[in-house]
Amino acid sequence: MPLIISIRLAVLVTAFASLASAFAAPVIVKEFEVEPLTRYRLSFDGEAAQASEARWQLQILTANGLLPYEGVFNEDWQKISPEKRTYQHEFWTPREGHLLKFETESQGENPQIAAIKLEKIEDENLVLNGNFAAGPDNYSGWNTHFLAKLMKSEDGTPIFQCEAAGYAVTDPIPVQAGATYRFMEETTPGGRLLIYDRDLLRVGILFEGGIPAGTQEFVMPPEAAFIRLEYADGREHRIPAISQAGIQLVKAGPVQPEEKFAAYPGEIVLKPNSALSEVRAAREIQHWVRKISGREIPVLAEPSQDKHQRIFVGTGWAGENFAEDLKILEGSDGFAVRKKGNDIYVFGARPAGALFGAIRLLEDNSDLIFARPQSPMGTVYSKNPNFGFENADTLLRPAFAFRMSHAPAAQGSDDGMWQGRVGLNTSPHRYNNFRSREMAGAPSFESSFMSIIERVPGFEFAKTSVEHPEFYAMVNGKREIRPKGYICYTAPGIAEAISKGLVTVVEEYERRGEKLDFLGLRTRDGWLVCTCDSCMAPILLPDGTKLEPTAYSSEKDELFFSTRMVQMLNRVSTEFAKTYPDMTITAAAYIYGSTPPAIPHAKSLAPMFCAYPTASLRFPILDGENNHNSVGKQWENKFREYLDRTTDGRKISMFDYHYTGGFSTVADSAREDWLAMAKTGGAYEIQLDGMPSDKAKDSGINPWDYDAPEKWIMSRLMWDPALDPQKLREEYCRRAYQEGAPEMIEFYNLIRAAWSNPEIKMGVNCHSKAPDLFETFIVKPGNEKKLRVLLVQAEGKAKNPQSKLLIQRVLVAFDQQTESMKRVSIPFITESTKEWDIPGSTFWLQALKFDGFKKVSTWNNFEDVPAERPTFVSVMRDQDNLYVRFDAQKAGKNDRVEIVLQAERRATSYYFALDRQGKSYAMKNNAPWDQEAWSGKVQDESDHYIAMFRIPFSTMEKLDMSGGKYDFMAKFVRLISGKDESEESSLLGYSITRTHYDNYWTKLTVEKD
Amino acid sequence: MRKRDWLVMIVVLAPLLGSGSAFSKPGEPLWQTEAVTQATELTELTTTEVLVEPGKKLAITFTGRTSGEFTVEKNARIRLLNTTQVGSALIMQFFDQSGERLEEIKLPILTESAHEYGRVVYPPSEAKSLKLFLAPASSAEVAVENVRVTQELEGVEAESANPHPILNYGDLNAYGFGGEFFERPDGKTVWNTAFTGQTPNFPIQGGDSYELFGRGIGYGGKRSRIILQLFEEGTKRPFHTIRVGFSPEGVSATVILPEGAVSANFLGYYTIVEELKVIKAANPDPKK
Repeated sequence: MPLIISIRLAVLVTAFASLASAFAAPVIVKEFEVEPLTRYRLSFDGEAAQASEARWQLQILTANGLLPYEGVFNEDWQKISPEKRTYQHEFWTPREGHLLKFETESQGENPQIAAIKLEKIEDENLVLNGNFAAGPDNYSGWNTHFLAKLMKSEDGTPIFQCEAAGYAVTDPIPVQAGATYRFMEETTPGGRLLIYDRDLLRVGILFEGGIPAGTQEFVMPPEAAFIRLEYADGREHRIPAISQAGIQLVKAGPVQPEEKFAAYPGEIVLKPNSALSEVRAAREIQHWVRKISGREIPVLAEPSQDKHQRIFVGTGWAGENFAEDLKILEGSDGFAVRKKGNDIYVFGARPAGALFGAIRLLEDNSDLIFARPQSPMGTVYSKNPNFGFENADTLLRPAFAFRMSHAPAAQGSDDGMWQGRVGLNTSPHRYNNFRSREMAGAPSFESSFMSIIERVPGFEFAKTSVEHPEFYAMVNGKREIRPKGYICYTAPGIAEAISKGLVTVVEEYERRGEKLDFLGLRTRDGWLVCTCDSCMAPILLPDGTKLEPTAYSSEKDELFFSTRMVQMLNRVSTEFAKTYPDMTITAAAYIYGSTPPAIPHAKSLAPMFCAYPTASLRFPILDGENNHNSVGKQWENKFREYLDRTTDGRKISMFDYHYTGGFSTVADSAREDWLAMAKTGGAYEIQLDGMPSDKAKDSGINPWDYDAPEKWIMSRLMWDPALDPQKLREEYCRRAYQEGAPEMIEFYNLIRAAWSNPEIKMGVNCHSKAPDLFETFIVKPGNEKKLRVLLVQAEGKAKNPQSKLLIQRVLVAFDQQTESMKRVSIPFITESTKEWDIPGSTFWLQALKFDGFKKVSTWNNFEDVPAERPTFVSVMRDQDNLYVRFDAQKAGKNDRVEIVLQAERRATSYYFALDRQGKSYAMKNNAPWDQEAWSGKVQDESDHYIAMFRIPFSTMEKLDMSGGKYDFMAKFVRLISGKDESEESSLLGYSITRTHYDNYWTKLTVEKD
Repeated sequence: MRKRDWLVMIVVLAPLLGSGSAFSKPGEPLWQTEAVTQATELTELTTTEVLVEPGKKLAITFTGRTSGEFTVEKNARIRLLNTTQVGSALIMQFFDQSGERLEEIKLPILTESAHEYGRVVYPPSEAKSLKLFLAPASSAEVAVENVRVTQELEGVEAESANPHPILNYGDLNAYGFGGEFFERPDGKTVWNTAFTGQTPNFPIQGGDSYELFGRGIGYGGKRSRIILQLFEEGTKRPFHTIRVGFSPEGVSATVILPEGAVSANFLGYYTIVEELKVIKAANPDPKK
């Protein structure tokens, strides 16, 4: 039986004196003592006068009379209406909850309240109102929701309907780390379980791919103190309807001593029902104060009267005191951190600013760094019992309004949290409205031309394809009609249709109560263009001249088709401005559009410059001299022209490819180009490609182990490109690697020196292979040993376990790259010069040995099948020559052994072969080659033969032998031909013709010392 | 064997060169000669203008042999060696209406002993005629017999839009395919695409139905695949691709090619191909 705490007698409440139209001060109806972290149901009868807007609220105070933020329940649904009599409210009490205040308020006569009852809920389902039986307008237990509504299904059962862009999230549910729980039967699958720690900070996730159907059991992770069930699908074609949500405890975990923390001399103050990102800001401060100082600071809904430091979070507190700051920040998600007396204020003109400001406040007063997304490894800090907020005077308005990660967007929970913490604010791809909002994401939308048209009701593909075939690109005299296809830029009404699509999208957001901040348009990912007569007609330019097409292909005439596209975009802009005159549209200057058009973009269009695919990442685009790809200054010229046009209030964006598969210092070049954009005064957006997930489930090495510092630096540069990337790199090292910082700084300095050395002529783009980068910027400059020693020293010095782990992973990544080179050191044997052609010389015993030849897949698949005729290879060297000895067993009549050498990938290949009869063969790049510098000798025996090669290293034209160590690539092959006994085998099992990838080769190393 | 001896042998053995051909004989020839022609320098085989019809497959078959270093008997890696500039060959040159030379196709002759060679190609779209030449390697002599050029093809070669659907002209001529050709123990030639290999382009008609048939084995797990790449007029990048099913027994599928497609080729990864066909099918009844 539920414990009934309250009285059964009716409580008559005196009518409130004021009948003013505004809400009068709340009236305390009843107070109850409550227990912490306990479920209660409050029920009462209420009678409200018409138009009184009567409502109730709950406040749960601590024993000290403080009101924790999570102790306030004051939501829109808590209304007392004239039509309804009985009410109930289910809730969890806060960790230190002690006293429940049941209050009402109204704009007129205060409501009559009776039959108040408070009872503990002892249901096995920990999810409050898990079956929505509390009533169709009762959101108890589900106070966090957006575009989600309680309703009845067709069979009359209550459900919680959630639109694609919406979310429904339970109130925090206290749990025990290490305990076993299970989902109750009929729980709606597809949701996620968000993990919150003691400070109610979201720190992790379970069932990230979606809760399965059935009674799945799971163990609560160690960091969990609370959980929340989240239904937020985000996909437009799915609208989840939640019918049941149940979680029950199966088995308690091991008993843990209750964690006790001393009080931190201060408090965080957050207004009730603050925006999600402001709540996150407060929780971040609370969490890191506890982690760093070992002391606990509360988040209060009302400031206390204590004299200690108060940290006011959110725009709501800033108004009166910091009007000037708010004016500077207006229209941006920048932030201010200010001190007034002993109090600190953290805020932005938008709620997002509070989160960015909170993180900066923490960073400015500690060595905390969010070094990479993967939790917990990616966050590093030192404990400091004397921690306090000394530095609190910053204002920063970001240089780029939109700082986004391109697809895949924040794939995992950790990725999304990291992006918000380092100040990125959006992605063109909606992924989860709840978590995106919490991490200060700005609503954004991007689409290709035809996709946006097809969003307009009446312009779906089925209709448009029939009613407007002229909208589709004409190719070879025929309209190419397909969903989301290429468009005709001059079709009558096409610009209007695109504009209508944009308007439709903005209105969709407005209907949801959201302001769409970022709107982008782009071509499809290809060179196809419409070649109808109208599109191919000369374009009249503003100066009265005509731009004539020179080809029917955008590849051959980028200028004409870029101009044609922008001509249409300008019409879209004009049309769209009739409804939304102040809104900017980002327009991808991609593929042929990267060539500046012969007409200017309309002022409301922000060209998004994309230097794909061939600008080298090693140097700024603007440093065309050092673009070591074949295109020379082409990208510099294009980009400079776009920059020059960014005047008079125009804006410019960039789709950015600053990432590689290996170690680099790419942020240096990003900075120069971004700074140039900022200097135009029109910097608008950076859309950063190459932001893969750093998911914890993949414990292996991933790209973050190579370039996490660069990503962190670039996140800073998006806010302020005037910062020095090298200083930021050093700061990253100091914070992330702590005692290991000096060595890590030296590590990155050595990489930077090679990376930025224009004498090393290698163009690098985002597709460059890691082994190539490793070889070019680490091995060839002679830094490999030095760099590894630095990593080992740094790892040895680092004391912070997180720092140690981060360095260890860099070391593993480094070793993996070394390993990927598949190098084997060739022994130097002085006597080899004289004895290489003696088959039985004992010096061959000291040589490097290979065997285990495998059949090559020729007419059939022989993958990994051992060769029927074994072959043994020995390799040694002297100062100038490579010596190779083959022992070809079970020899055939037409039997030869072969070596292919290459100085590096894609360099000239050299083929050397000796057959059983002693005849020699050579080829250079598969062409006949008469080269006498190499020699061979064969000793034929009854069932096998020995073939020996002497090949001067100088044979390989591109082999750089100047360093202390150099590599080259080799293949060892044997071919037996003839109708009845043919077999082709090789050391690695790959065909002699296979050259494309490094793993087809054996990498041999000459170490001089 | 010295050069002089080899010449004598040609004279003696010449009548036997073309006997017992395994190749199916295509229909009415555009041009043919049964005579033995031998050459030590560049020699034109055709004495009259051979008219060709563009857009229609053309087959050339002959029996050939050569002396010199660049033969399969002298070098087992002759298939790997780039003999374009140095080996003996029969050259097919196409000409346009005005007599302007268009492209030429070299058919390497890589055997000391008599060997049957063949190749199917689409003449260039502007081609009006062709000429044949015999080009010996330096210091070598080359001989051919039973040279036959026709556009009246038969069997699967006639049905299929792509040349060499069943790879029946042996492993010494890669037909312009990437990858390598191998002869199986049962005498059948297969195309090993290796990491990646492409066939030459062949014309198709966008909007029409085709039956695709693939027979072969993969040896790269998920990486093994055959793709039909479709091109628009005047472009080098495919604008559409279709995955072609294949198995040792063969897989067929009917597809409607997208509008705008004018040519296609096959791109293969880690596959040993025995047969690949693109055969025009009856267009499906739109009422069904």
